[in-house]
Amino acid sequence: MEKSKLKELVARIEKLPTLPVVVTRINAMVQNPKTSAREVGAAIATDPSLSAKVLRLVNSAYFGFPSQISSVSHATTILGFNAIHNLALSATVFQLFHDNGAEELFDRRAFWEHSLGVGVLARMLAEKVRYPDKEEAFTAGLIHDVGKIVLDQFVHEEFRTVVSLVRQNNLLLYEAEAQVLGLNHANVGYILGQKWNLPKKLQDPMAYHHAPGLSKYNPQLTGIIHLADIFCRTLKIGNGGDNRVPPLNKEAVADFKLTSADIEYLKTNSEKEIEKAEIFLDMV
Amino acid sequence: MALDQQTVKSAAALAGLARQLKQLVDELDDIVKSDFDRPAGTDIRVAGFALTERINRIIDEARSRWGEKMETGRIQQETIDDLSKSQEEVNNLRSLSSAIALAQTRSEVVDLLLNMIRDNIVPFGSAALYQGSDEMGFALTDSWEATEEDRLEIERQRAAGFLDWVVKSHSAMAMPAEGKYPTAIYVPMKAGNRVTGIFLLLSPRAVEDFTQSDQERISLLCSQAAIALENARLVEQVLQMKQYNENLVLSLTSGLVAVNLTGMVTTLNPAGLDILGLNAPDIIGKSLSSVSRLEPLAKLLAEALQSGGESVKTELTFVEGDKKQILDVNISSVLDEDDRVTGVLGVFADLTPIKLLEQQVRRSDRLAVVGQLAAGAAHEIRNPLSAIRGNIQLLNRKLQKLPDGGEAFLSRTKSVIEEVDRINRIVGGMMELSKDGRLELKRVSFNQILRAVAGLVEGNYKEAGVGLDLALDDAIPEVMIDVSEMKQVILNLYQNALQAMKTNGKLTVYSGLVEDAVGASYVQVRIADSGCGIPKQHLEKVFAPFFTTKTEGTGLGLSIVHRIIEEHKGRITVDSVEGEGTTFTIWLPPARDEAKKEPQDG
Repeated sequence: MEKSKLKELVARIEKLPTLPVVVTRINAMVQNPKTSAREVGAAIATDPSLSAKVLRLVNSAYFGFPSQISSVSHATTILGFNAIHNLALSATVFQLFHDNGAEELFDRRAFWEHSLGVGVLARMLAEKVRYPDKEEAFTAGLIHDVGKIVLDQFVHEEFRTVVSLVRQNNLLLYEAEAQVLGLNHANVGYILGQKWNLPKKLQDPMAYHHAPGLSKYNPQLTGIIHLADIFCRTLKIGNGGDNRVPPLNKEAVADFKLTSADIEYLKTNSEKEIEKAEIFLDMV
Repeated sequence: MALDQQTVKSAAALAGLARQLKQLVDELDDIVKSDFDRPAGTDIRVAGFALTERINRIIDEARSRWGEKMETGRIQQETIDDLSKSQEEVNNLRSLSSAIALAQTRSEVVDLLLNMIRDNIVPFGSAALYQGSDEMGFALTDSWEATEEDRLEIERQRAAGFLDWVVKSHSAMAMPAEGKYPTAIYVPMKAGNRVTGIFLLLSPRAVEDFTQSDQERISLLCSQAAIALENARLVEQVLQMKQYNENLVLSLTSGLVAVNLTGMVTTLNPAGLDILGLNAPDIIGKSLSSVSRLEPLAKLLAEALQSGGESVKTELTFVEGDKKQILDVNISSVLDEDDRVTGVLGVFADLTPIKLLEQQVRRSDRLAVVGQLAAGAAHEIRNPLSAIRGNIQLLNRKLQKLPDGGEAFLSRTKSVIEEVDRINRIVGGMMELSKDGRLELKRVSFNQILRAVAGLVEGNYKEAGVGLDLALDDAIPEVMIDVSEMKQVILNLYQNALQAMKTNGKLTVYSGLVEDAVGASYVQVRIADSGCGIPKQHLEKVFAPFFTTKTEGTGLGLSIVHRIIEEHKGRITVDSVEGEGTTFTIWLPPARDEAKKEPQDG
């Protein structure tokens, strides 16, 4: 793929929608330790539909909090500032890429199921390996493959070629993407992360979940997403656009020290946890 | 930092816009220039309008970007201010958390923590602490300044499941609360990955006013506190263990001495100090050889240090002047984890009383053996004696029939018979000595015996001008004794005493109930004379058979007395000071209650 063609592709990709202002504001606020819960609540309140979504989510079985949470500011002090930030992000991402009526080259519903599965599994793995922010892992899992949607929407014709190549030769999606486009959905994820100004901790998993060794800022979370993705494919949760399981990068996951008991636990409980998280699919 | 990026992006965008603007202006410039060459009819305005549109749009975009930049500029400044405040706080936090790390006891840690939170992070009214573990659950262990109302709210919160939520989530949270305080703050205390406790603070601050920084700082202090508490608990355990071990050593009834590699005494327990007659400050840290009497022990320990191996069990004798002490000593080496010798340990017990007892037993045995011999010999002698006497008697009669009555010979034969009788008496005494202890026991008060026999010797005492005083305690319990034997004993003692005294001497007899070192009670009788006393070198032998300093007498009297007393399971001892007097002391066990009472007789 020649450089100029690639540049042109990237230019088209960069036309993808920006994150709603409220989410960027929350991002900035959460970076500032002096932000009070009230300020966060006020910021989210500027977008009533987001506010409603966040409240629905915090009161759902997904969190399982023992009593009703009546305001976003309460949710912030109860679940944590980062959790609310991640919730806002998750709730928004789904919306940004909702069905726009154009032809979809892959089953969106199955795609979101896969993303949700990776999110849930990433959260469970985060707990097991003691990654400090479970909700962050969930969000990272949820958005890790959004690059595919961007390609579908903004590089539609070329993506059609990719998809048929996958079907014909039973390739992995990123193999076909590299052949046809010169870049894959993870690269697109990287561009997305940059455009949306996501925290570097969240950018790395999007960009390197197929090559976790390249992660600089957050190798642990990237490894978790890498593993969660493979898990979901083996457990056939949703569909990520192809039908094969990518190779596991052993080094990335060696530090997790997972035992076979851990893996059993994940297998047995993933269904239950995914069910609890299905509320997120309602946001699509 | 995201803000930097924003600034850079805004600047880049502005630059881009500027370039675009320049391009448009250039285009406009060209149009104006070419105006003059344009044929009439071409609509400049249309072309220009299209351009203006674009220019306007660019200007709008530039304006909004500029606004963004201002906004980010403002946020940047705020951040810088906040940063410097934060630095102050970080330093504050650092010194606070060091203070917690230094606190030693559990209550110190908790008090420090609560005060720090209250003074530096968030005010609160009452507080509660739950402690436990993930596996065993958590229970309320302490509360501070909690009124009844507060306690109810605390319980309500727990019942609602918020505590369990925090246990599961392992992270701090602030919740709306009911009652006096609007907010309940939960902070888990984590040591490593385990939650060891949860603080619940009821605060007057509104929930919405909490910031991330508050949460982080509280969590930080609590983590520090959790570690400090864990340390305090471990320290307490160690102290308890140390105290327990010390108590073990203190409670030992045997002596325990430990020396280090240089031979200095590191430990000597109270029992040991007692046995050796030392005071702790005089010997701890010094060598045992600093007390010359203990040289044998010092030597033994030093040898053990050198050979550094097997245990040794031996007896040691300490001599100081005329005092002797015998110890049974067990020596062993003190080893560290790598089996290297770090010192020597000695456990010892005082054998002196036991040795004394051994001596007494041996003496009794000896006496018993002698007694047996005596009995045997005595028996053998009786017959020939009988024969001799008989023959002499015969001779006597024959002599009396002689013309001059055999005067000259009669005195000789009389002498022979006297001597034979004397031998008989000795033999009788010896047989008496070895008599086989068949006693006819009766239950009487000893005072009775003392009085009765005093009556017998009264006359003799008066004749000699010596006083006889009975100072008897009538409250003494009765004893089980063979009355005739005991009378013999007392008679013997009274008579000996009389012989030892001159005119104006006095014999005093005491009786009373005493207790010995182990708490057993005895009836004690003391017969004290003011006579010439017994020299020290003879005192030991006084009860021995055939021992006498008198010109007449068999020398068996006191040994018979001794035998009789021993048969009654009593003891007799003698004390004497030459020139002042002698006291014989008898101890007898009181009659046991089951024994039947016998009618008294004189």
